Amino acid sequence: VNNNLKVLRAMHNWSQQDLADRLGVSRQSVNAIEKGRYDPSLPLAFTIADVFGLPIEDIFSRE
Amino acid sequence: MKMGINRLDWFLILPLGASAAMAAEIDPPRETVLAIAPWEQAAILVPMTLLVGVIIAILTALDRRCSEDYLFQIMANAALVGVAVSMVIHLIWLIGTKAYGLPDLSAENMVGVTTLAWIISYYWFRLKGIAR
Repeated sequence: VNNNLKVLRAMHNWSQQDLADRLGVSRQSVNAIEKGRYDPSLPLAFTIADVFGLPIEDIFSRE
Repeated sequence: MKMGINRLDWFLILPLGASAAMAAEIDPPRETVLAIAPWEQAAILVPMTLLVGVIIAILTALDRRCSEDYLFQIMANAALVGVAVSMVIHLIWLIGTKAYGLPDLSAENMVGVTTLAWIISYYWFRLKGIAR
């Protein structure tokens, strides 16, 4: 699964830790998602969409 | 205490050494104090396995709620690897026992192998990721 989390985070001028705090996960989780080393669960993907105020398909796409 | 992934990365170094030592340990043969029949052994082990299995399943569900998804997925994937490695190692050693007269593995050795495989694969998944 591809994602544009890094771009969205940069647009909001948030660090990985800032985003992790908003999502209630560790910075390592955010880093792993951005690097494509971890596909988030559906609840976490929805939380990410909520944090950015975007539909989930605008953040995640199939490879 | 909530175990964060960063803390766990460091914490697992401790059981890594201990499990390697357990896997290598060779005990002198112990005198059996109580002789039991196979059905008696089964009567003890099967219900005990069922009971402990249910308890651990409940605790795992609790653990899943308390820990973050990334950490839980890594631990679950590593646990699968640990079980598979234990079964393969046991089979290989069993063949070695029959073919070359290797000594029997003790339960402590197998626990060491399982734990070691689990910890090594934990670090492997942390490094390489778990995305499909």
